[in-house]
Amino acid sequence: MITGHFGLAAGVKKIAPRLPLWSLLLATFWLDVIFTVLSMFGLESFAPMNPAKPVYGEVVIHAPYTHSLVGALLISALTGWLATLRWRKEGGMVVGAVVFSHWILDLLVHRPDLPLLPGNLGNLPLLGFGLWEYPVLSAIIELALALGGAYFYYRSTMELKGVQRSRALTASMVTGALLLLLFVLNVSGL
Amino acid sequence: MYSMLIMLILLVVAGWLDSRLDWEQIHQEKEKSS
Repeated sequence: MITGHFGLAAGVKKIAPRLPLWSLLLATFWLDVIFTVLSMFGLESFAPMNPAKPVYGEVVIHAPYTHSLVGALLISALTGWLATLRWRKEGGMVVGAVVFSHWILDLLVHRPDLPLLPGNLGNLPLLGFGLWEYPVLSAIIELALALGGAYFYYRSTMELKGVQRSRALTASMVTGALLLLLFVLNVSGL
Repeated sequence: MYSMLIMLILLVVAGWLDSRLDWEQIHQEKEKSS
């Protein structure tokens, strides 16, 4: 769901134009950034089911802290609070919501591997609707998020005129093209 | 691996292109129209 996360972030510019795009792109991927750090310490892990030939959506993910519901909420709240220091309350709330959107989108596609509590305390049932079991459907949703995000990003720049207009067109086209390239690579398992 | 590279490029290049736009003007227009 890499492309879907980024597509959603680009689309959020439509409702929060003053937040820089990099902050939204980073926010949407923030849980995975912390996941990567924890992976280095062996606390979380990620591996393709078939390492010799990685396939879209066929991965084993063990992320009991960053991708638990409560863990994701805590990280989102903390990141949102930090963002308020720079982008005020409104910006902080948007950043926090975008961080948490990652968990929501992961809930759609992951097989049941998302715990409710950090460390899967209490061994409660794991969450995940498992759309990755239907890779075509999952890819269609992801592509829609990417294209929709690029479109809303473009729409958010409609008020600009002159040089700013051509810069906005360039930014929209490059962002859209990179999202499409990311989608193709992701679906190809590269 | 390639996906990671494109993600980094997206973050840096799209972020830079976005920073050249006058988002304050867009925000003001949005405030006026709402």
